[in-house]
Amino acid sequence: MRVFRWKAVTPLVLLLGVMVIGWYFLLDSAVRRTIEVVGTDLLGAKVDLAEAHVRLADGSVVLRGLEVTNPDAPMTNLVQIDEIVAGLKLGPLLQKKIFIDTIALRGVRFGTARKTSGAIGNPNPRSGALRRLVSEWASSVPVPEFSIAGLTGAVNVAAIRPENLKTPEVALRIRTAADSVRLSWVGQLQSLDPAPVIDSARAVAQGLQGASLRSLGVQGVVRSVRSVRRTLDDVAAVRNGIEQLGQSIGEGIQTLREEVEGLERAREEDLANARNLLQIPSLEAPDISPALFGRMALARIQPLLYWAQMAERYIPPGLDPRRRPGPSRARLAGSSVEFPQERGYAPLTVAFAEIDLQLGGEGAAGGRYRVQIVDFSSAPSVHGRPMRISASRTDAGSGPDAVYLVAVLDHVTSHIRDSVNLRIAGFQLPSITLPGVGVRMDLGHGVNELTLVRSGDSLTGSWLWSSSQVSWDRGSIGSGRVNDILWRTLSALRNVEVEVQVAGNIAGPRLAVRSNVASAISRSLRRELANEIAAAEQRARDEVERLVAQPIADARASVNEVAATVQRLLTQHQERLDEVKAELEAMLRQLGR
Amino acid sequence: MLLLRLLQKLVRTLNSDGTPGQVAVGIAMGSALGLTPLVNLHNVLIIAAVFLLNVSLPAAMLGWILFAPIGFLFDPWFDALGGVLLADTPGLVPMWTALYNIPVVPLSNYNNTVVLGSLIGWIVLAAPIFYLARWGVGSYRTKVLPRLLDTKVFKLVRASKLYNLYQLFQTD
Repeated sequence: MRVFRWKAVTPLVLLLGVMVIGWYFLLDSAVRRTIEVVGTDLLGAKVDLAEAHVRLADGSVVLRGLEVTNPDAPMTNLVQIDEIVAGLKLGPLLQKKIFIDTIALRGVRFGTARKTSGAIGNPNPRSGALRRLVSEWASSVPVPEFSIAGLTGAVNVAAIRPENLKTPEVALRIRTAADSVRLSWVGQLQSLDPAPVIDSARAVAQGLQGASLRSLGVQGVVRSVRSVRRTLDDVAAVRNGIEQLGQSIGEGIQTLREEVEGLERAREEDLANARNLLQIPSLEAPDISPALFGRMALARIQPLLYWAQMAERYIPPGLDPRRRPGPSRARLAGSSVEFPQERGYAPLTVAFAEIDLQLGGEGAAGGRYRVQIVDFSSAPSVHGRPMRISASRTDAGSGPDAVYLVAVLDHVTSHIRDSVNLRIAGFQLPSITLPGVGVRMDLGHGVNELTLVRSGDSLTGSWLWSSSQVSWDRGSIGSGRVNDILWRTLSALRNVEVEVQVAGNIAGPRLAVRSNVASAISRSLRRELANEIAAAEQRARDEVERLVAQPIADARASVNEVAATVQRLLTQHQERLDEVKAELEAMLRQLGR
Repeated sequence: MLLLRLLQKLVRTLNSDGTPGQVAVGIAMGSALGLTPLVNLHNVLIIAAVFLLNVSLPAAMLGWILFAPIGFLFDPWFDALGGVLLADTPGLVPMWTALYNIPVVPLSNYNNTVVLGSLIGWIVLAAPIFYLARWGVGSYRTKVLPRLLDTKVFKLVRASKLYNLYQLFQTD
């Protein structure tokens, strides 16, 4: 029997030929569809691509009309790119890896309007997970409130109620604890009652009253001495027990006294809370700055954190196998594992990218920018070189005098080192309505300077906005003395600096905000309203004192009473034992004569 | 019409075309198409082998049809097996890494847990499927078919118009 079916060769070759031709003609739509599906899956919002042209013969890919929906605003594009032209190396494609020698992005615009909504019905639960994490961090950062209501109206101390205060609650807890330990200690002292031992010792002593060597004889004396010593040992054992209990009681009383001292801290906290309840604002500049600019700082730092964590997720360091979700298909997708190898090809490498960026339409920031990205790799440890990004402005009628951006993302080793330096001078800075004040601050043209350094998991950086052309609008500020003072203070400011400092772990860094606006408000209000603030604070203090003084005194008295009671019992027991011990020792001496 | 012809070919294959060995190899090779995700490089090789080797083509189709639902059913186990081999066996990582960086090999999607798990599953099951199919076809031809041909129902069917219609589409 023949093993090969030679007549099948021709149809098979023809079939393969048809498949290759079909694949060639369907490649464009397959690439377009893949980009749309993968992009939508990753982002959790629609990604549309108008055209894709792949020419494998000359290794070029042209994508046109890419629109990436903003997941938070489905009628707006996060980014819209008119054309992407990429030059591919063909060799790595055989390893299912994409190596782009050069890529040019033209007509990149942000925040453009969409014709149809880009929301999707059932977004992949994985997509947007990072965004949610960053949002959770942002909502966990406490931003203090700045309210001048407490300075403008009458101070109504009725808002301070015992149930809003911590001190009475802590004091009651201490009293309950004192009562409970008193019962326990008295019980223990009663269980160590020395009366039986004392009675027994007294009986021994009385039995030997007047006894001598002559009356008892040698053997009788020896027996009596033994009996007295045994009794003395019993007395000593009971006394030791009482001493040990005394020690433990002493420690317990010390703890109770410390808790009583801790009531002072609770009282200070209550006072601070009372100030909040009465809306008496803190006039310390470090407290005012976060209240005025904290929300703005969070809104601007959030995207930075998001992109820093995105960079780590999609450009991970190291050469460990990486498990990713498998491709969507009728069968189970499973997971696909990548096995990066040093000096090999990364799944995606872009050796050089040039992006023609268009910002802000006709505004001051509007114009064209050229961004260059060198050595981007989805597996930097394989590529062996850090990614570098630089940007400059190429064309603008008005707007920034200077734009300078240098970023280095070094994920080559497991110790990630990212740095971003951005300086834009002459840029239209944002307008901000100061929370709690209502005045609108238009920063005008100024300097925007960002420095961010990530080393391992720690993040440090600062974002500075400074302007010498600030203008002010009364906005929603009301009338009245305090509001007039605030308006006079703010409207006199021409130079403004707001600096946000970031430090700590990448997953949840700490924010600090500093601004000369806060310092000016603090100085001005302190100068003009010192007496009013002092009076309001004194009323709050008096009310808190009125409500907490008695509970503190009761708690202190309770602890003192417990200490006195158990100390009295202890002393009584010890004195009685010492007395009987002295009698027995005298008896011993008498027997020895 | 195409379905009817396919049915005719399947019936003829089972009844007389090719040796039981050829039919069994066809079923075993076709089972690869059913057990593993279809659009993968190894299946192109399997299809080429089915065409080029002197095995039964209709039997391969039958194997594919029979084992496709089993493939879907076994996917969770294939995924687990592939996961163990690819991600949880450090001793195999150097081999996978070497394969991942050899041209063409990554196009086979061997690094997907379901593809690898199902491929290993098929390799393990191929021999039992072959022997079972050969025994089944042999037994069918020697024991079941003669009795079937002798039944009144079958004779009635052969005498019916429906059978004439069936024969109308016979290719030879």
